[in-house]
Amino acid sequence: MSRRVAFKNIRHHLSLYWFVLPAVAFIGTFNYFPVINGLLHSFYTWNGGDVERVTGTQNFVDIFAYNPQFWKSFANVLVLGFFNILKMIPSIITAVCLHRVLSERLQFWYRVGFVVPMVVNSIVVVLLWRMFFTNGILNSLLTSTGGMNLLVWFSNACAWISSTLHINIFFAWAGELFKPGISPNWLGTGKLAWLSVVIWGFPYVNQFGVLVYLAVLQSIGKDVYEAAEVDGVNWFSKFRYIELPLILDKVRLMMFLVLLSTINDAGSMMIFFGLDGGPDGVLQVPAVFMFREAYLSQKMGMACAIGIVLVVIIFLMNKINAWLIQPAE
Amino acid sequence: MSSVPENASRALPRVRSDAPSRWQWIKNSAATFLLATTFFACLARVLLREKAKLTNDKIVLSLAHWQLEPGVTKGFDEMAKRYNEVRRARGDAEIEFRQMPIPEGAYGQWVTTQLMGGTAPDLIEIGFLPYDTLLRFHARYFTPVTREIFKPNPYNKGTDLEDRPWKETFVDGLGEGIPALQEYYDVGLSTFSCRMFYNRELLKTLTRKLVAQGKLDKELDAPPDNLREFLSLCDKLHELTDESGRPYLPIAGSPDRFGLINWLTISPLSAPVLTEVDDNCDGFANDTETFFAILRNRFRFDDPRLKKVMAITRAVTMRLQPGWNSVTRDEAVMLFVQQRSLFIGAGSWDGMTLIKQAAEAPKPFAVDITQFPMVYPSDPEWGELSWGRPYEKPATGFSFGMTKMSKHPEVVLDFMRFLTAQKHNQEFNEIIGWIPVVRGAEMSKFLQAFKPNLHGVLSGYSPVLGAHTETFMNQTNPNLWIGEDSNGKAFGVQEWCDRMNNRWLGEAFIDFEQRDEAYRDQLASKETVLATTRAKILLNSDPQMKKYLQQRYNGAFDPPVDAIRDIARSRQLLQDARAEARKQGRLK
Amino acid sequence: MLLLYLWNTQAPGPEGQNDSHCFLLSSVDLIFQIALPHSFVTPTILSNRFAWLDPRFRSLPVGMMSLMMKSVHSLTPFRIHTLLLCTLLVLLAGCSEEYSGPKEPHAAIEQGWVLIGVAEWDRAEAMFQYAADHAKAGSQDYLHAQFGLGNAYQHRKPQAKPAEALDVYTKLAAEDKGGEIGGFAALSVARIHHLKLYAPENLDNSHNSDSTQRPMFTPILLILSLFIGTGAAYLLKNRSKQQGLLALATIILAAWGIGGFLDRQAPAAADTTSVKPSAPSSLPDAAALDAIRAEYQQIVDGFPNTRAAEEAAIWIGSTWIAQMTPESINTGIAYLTKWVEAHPKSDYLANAYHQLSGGYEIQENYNDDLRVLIKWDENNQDPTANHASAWFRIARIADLKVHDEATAKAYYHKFLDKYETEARRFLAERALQRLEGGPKKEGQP
Repeated sequence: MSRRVAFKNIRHHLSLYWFVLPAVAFIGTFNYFPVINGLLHSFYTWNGGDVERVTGTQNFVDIFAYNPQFWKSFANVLVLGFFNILKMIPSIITAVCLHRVLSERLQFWYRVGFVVPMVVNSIVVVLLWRMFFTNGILNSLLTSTGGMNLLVWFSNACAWISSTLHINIFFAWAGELFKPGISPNWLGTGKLAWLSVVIWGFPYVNQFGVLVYLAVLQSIGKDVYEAAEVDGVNWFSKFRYIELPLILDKVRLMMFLVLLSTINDAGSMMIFFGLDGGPDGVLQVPAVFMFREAYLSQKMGMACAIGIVLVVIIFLMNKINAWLIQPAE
Repeated sequence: MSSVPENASRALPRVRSDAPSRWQWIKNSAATFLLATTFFACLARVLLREKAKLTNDKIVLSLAHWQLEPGVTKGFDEMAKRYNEVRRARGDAEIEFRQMPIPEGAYGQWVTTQLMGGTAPDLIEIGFLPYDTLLRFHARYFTPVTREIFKPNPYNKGTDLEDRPWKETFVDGLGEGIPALQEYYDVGLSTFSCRMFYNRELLKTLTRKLVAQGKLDKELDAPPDNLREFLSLCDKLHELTDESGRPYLPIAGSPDRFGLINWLTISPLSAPVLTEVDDNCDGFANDTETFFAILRNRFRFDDPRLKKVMAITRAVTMRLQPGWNSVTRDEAVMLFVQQRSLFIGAGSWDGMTLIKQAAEAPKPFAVDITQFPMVYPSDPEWGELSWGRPYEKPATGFSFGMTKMSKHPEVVLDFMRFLTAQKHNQEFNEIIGWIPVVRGAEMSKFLQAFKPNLHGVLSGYSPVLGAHTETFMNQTNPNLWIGEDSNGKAFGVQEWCDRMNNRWLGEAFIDFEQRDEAYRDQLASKETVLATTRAKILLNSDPQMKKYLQQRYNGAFDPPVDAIRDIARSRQLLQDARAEARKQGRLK
Repeated sequence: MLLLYLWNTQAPGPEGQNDSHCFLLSSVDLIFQIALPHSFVTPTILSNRFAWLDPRFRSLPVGMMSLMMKSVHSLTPFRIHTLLLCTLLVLLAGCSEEYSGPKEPHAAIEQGWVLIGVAEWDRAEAMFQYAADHAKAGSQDYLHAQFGLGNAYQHRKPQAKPAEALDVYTKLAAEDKGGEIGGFAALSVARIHHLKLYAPENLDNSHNSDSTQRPMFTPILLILSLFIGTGAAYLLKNRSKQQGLLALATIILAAWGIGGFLDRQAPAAADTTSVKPSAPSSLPDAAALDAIRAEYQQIVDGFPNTRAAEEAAIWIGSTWIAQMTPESINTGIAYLTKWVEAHPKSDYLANAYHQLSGGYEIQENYNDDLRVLIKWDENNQDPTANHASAWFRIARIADLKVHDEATAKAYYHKFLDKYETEARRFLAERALQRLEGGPKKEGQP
């Protein structure tokens, strides 16, 4: 039961309230005010300057009824989200491997090794990958290691399966990806652009995730493992029955964070493809769409409305996610 | 409900175990001390100054810009020195010249705080601020020079510009000033243009090889000016390989760099379609005219002439390195500097850097500059499109505005006139290595190749109406450039025409509606401009000034009246054109 | 850095503010410069949002925002919060002195107009209000003050105060009957009413109707199904997770299916340009325009021999033309033609010819268009006018539409002689070569 503090008692803790005040003021000004302002302006035709007219729900009607581009961008982000969730697996594996390192000293240095790259700004990482794709480093690497031939062979194989067995779902798509003698234009053609945004970030070890999982794993006592070994449990069963149930809660949290960041992510997509959403607009995502409405069309009100719709959708996804992954009661 | 005991907080023990040391205390308070010191120093300074009037007669002229190149700062200092000589000779007091080079990243912010705080220098280089902000700042903090701009520049005495109004001594006549404010504010000092840079030694070496192989008649020390020959040379060069066995990539491209080729080689080829598009006979094909020409079926994207232009676009983009459409401009430079490419487009502003990079490369080489190739009228297939080289709008850049904070506006104005006099503008640009902006001012030998072509052709249509058409074009054009769409299917000229014919109009409708809305919003702003001029007339008692203002007011009276007629006319046109299109079955 | 700022404090404020704020803002700036030595994001766009603040205080929120945008906490050893709080205190302490406008009404009016010019609406209002309160009732200054106040209400952005403006203008028009200010006040009333007819609110909301973008049922239904499905899943979760999941999936799939079906029923495929049956013009009707013209006519009648009456007459003519029916355009042209004949010495002669040209252009009556365009150009007294466009258009219409070679040549030459670097020189030269013969020069590399 919560305690209620009589107003007259507040003066005795005034100094404490004074300490809190700057933080409240700053959070209010820089976190809450923009959100409330955004919500308000989503009902306006607003150019961010001298034009500000109330247009009611027109912005929302426009988004829902007349904006296939927005929904297309939403479909894109869901597919990207799916791949980003798959990309969480290496982090889990890494955390488990680290946890099972027997030497404590070695484990410490491994941990340090994972923390250090965290200081690199994520934008820098995206820029590096962009360079990797565009200035020929990846292509040179593939050519010199023979990887390119492998890719071409794979592509040909897919094309063969598609043409002879008539399985079109994936094979037709992959069949024309790599052609002999032609350097892949990773970010410049539609299919390869998709492939690029899926593969970038290899080996997908999210340091933050690793540390979170590791923190939980370290709460498992040695006796549990010893008992398991006495019972003859193999390495995978240890993971399946001891480690995974423990970290599942965190996996759920990380999944939500990954989805959230995928939907909110405008930065990396804009670095890769600019405001146009890649070749033929195939990689348009909602956040970039919002930026475009705001800065290209000068429709700040519409951009605010898109922001609000995104918030609602994220909220819904959170609810579904929470329910689907919660442990059985 | 329970309440907290009144003396609860007093009962807390006061812990002093981790009291800060004196050194820590000093460290923690350093910022506050610094602030207090600054504050009191400023306070003292202002109080003292308010008491004592400035007795120092020296006129201080300050100027802010973001050009950190040593050449520019040197150029300004040198010109200030020469200006002082002129003043001395005239018997005027000398000026003390101060310039503030501010880094680009902080420039917009710096200018904003200086203008708002009323501490801005006399002259400010215009830029790094959004257009809307610039507009407000101009109205608020800058002094218009409209009256002065229509009088001759006294420093042009003895030249052919002697009697010309100052405005007309600039290569672009300073345009219309700032139309939204009905005033002229900024005066430019330089202009810029773009050319093709090439690696002469490599070109000679490779063409020599081609001659030996019998693929070329003679060795070349400059690329051919004829586009068809140029493209054929590119193909032959691509067949040659460098020391590591990689084929040469004749043209180093990136979307930016290709933009230059597109502007200077390809876009003028659409000039012949102007006749169908230019409805109001003003010689320009603007976006609204393009929209209506297409809606009224007077012009189509599969016009045979436009198809040829697109075929040329494809022919050029095919010769750029693979993946060029997703690399940055610097990555393209890398190819050129590493001598994997022979040609690259660059501007007069970054030309010097490129030359320096080439000279400092592991295998240094000299860079030459030439015009972008053009389609010759004698060309059997494309010749009908060639009306000439493109018109290179001589936009005045490196523009400065005079702030209202200036204590000696007459001296600042005089200094601007001095800098933009024919002779002095030439001297100044010679020092800084840029192109003079005043007519008749000669440019340095290196820059001769950059001389803008003021006798040329403009594009004959303009398919970007607003954000939607812009995005649509930005998404569609790359398909043509790389020859395939997002599904990996071949995408050629015909596919481009089909996509444009099918979908462009849909995007254009949205842009048109949004623009109509924006026009209607702007009606009120147009009225405000008129009202402020009207007030000046009503409040002015000087008959001459009143007459001048009245004349300008009448000049400004047309746009608001025209705006309403234009809104009505375009609406009506839209309605009629739709009906017509429906009747013809072009719209469903 | 300190010295630079000390020096900076020498400059006087732009709008006659005293110096006290300059050093204060300089102190603020100093902090920002120290705290943000290497800034990448310029927060200048934010400054517009703070236009309502007194200029003395404006750089504070902008600076604060810029600090937040750059998350300096991790970059600088300074305690930003301490600094900002100190700054706030310093600012408040130093700015206790109130800004006071000119005491003399006429000067206050002039200052008020300067403030309108720089979009300082509140302060402009205060200036005019002060002048109106302190000027002798009925005096010229009083009228000017009231007129200024009306303008401050009318032009305020983003939120104008049209009701207040109309109130002030109406009273003023009655007080200064037949006078210049009264005339402009009455004209302003008519202008407010006229512009209201073209406000963006009058645009039909089906403004996307002609685009390829049509109602998309699938996404709407999908979102709806997500809401319902989540609810269903929650209800079922205690019974069986599988059942919940099934319910969710069924609802989503059903929504997808129904949405897809409805989409297929929609009139067009995504890749063709579709048009809905009705296309509203979003333009005012004849009755509304008649009412506006009656208002303008009252000004013409009630304020004869004033500039407001002349402007009102131009507006009447142009309103007829903008009505866009063949008859109304004819009426407008006739009205303006009569007007220019009756007012051969008017300052607004060029404006009237310009509107006439607009009317003829819509009619595609190029002979008359050419005639009035020449008249317009000849009567244009604006010393800052750029004649390039007028001359080129006259020449081009004469050349391509009217086939009046003499006029075309004369104006092409005039254009070429005066505008040496104009973009359309090439077209003019090409046309002249065609008209005057001689070898073709253009197109030769």
